[in-house]
Amino acid sequence: MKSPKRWLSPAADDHPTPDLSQGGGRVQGEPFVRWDDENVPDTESAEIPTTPTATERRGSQQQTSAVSPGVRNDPEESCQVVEAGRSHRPRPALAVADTSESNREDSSAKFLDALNENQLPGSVPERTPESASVPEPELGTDELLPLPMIDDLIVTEKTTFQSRPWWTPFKWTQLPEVGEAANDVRTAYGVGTGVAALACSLRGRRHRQYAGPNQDAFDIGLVKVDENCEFLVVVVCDGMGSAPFSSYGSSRVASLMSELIRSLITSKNLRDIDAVEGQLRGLQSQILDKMTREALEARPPGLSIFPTSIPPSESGPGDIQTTLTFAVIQNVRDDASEVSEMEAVIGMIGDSPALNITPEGPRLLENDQDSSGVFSTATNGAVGASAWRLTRTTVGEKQPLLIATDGVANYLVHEGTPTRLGKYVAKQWISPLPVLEFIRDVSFDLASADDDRTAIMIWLNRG
Amino acid sequence: MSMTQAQEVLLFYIACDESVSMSQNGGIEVINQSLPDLHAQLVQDPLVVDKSRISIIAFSDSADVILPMTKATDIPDMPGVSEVGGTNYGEAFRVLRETIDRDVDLMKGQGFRVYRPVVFFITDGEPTDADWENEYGLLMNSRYAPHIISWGVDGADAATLQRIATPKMKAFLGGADRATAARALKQMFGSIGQTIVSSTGQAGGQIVLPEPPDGVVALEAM
Repeated sequence: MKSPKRWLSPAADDHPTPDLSQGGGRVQGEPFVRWDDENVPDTESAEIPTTPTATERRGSQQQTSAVSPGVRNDPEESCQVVEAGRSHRPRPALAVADTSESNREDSSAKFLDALNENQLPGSVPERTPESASVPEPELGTDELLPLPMIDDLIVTEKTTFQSRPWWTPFKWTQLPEVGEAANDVRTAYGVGTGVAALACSLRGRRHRQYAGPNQDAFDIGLVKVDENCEFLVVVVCDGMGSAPFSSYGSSRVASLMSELIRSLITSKNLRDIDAVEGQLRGLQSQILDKMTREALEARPPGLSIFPTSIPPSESGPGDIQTTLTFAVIQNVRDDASEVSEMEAVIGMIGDSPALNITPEGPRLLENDQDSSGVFSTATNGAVGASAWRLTRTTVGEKQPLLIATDGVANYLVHEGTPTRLGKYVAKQWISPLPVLEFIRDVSFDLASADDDRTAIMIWLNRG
Repeated sequence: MSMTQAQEVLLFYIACDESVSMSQNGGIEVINQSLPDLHAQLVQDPLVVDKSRISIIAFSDSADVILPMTKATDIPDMPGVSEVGGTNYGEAFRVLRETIDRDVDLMKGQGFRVYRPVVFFITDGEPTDADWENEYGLLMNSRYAPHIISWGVDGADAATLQRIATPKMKAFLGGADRATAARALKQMFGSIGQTIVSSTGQAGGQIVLPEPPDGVVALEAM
């Protein structure tokens, strides 16, 4: 029996873009998306291989295709994100056959060709209101428009993990224990004066599978010094897996750092980015010390995970350790300003990088630390640290800023070269985009990309 | 060459002793039972499937790659081992070096980020070749020198296993006689599976060593 089709949310006109100063918005109230039950992937076709028969033959194994048996790789699953007042944009399937591990040739390979030629048909449309004239559909009482799916953003081939819906009885996505929020999807977005920002944090596959929470956290908001002076403050933290309460630590440090920076700017009446940088450089030790003490000692009620297991007297930085990256951007003074770029100061402890998104690809503000040999990671923590690395950049019309955790950034640039995903992002995120598209993009499907993911985009926005 | 994708991958190599003595203590039979069980365990974990590749090398007088580096779900039928000759460690380490070198280059050439490979070295006796340490040295000084976790039963020597295990890894020794070797070996395969599953569930290519099964002791690498 066919299940009823449904509308998931009302028209976007009822939900104006929130002001960042009022706190971030949520997915709810975004441009509506319509689902078509007929287009739901046939999960029964994605069988996991059963135990093979034991044999004693040897030398007969041949390296086989990298395409897993039973794993769907259907780039033709179509998608339309429908936004009120805009055209129905066909979303191309972004699956790209991994030509290095398989010889599959399907339509997704065309995407790769287009990508290599800097041509992404349909994937980076002009975001103009030209489609305001699209007539509203007339709906009968028993007939609704087909509801298109949001297709996966598949970087190479559909992964095993993604081959099943989250509700699969295999329990590949598990809820964490009571008392700890999973934070599967968090988002905040909105505009300030001359600036637009969009943030998204997703629980990674590893934590979904092992019933852990999202250990990434972010904070984003405006600091208004007066009518003519405004800063955007963005903080991203990636809780370290070795710390037993890193999800607490990352969220606590993100909010504390945001508050400390805001307090620094307002209390010292800082009115330009050079003054902010000077204070952040001169007072870094004091700020980090205060943040550490607050994070370890002044635990707010409601965050119960941390205090229940370790008495305050026995806890240390290693219990809540996290990376820290923040950005302070001086917003343009007027939406109609002719200013073509905004100045930003970035502070970093650990491996959550800042990147400029350029038409050529994402560009790390610090060099990729990977060696050319086998890959390894080493991360510093912010709790208990006494210094951060400070750098400056600008946010321009063709150069928005991305602050991300390594769950995203590791897959955008490798050894100084934009990856396949990085080239896509350079086109897709070069200007503000609908929130659901951004969440879809951050949800990219790539084997081994199993960490939590957080990305915050900051654009110069002159309306 | 494909566009870089920065996908991370962990490479696991299982080096199985298939010398005559492994037949006498039931080891050959246990390996041939355990490899399909191991495969069944690995394909059930989507992170293992998506993030790792498995290879199996059998060694006796010579060494052969009986399962080239493969994604778990792409293995239609696990290979087996059969009783052959002596216990030539040097051949095992030579083939490991050549195979790892080729595999890592292949994966890096395809745009993968490759973590340091992990070798599970399983044996039931002392090496029959006197100069095995030369090949061991070449392996450990190679570009992609792997982590090695050594596993020994029956006549395996604790000091030799500790010598083979690499820093921060361990040597596991159990089933000190032929009567108990098969049972210990079976348990070791369970631990190997758990090591693969746990390690692929970690960030940053961290290797999670298992607790030793009952009757098996864990020894520090020397």
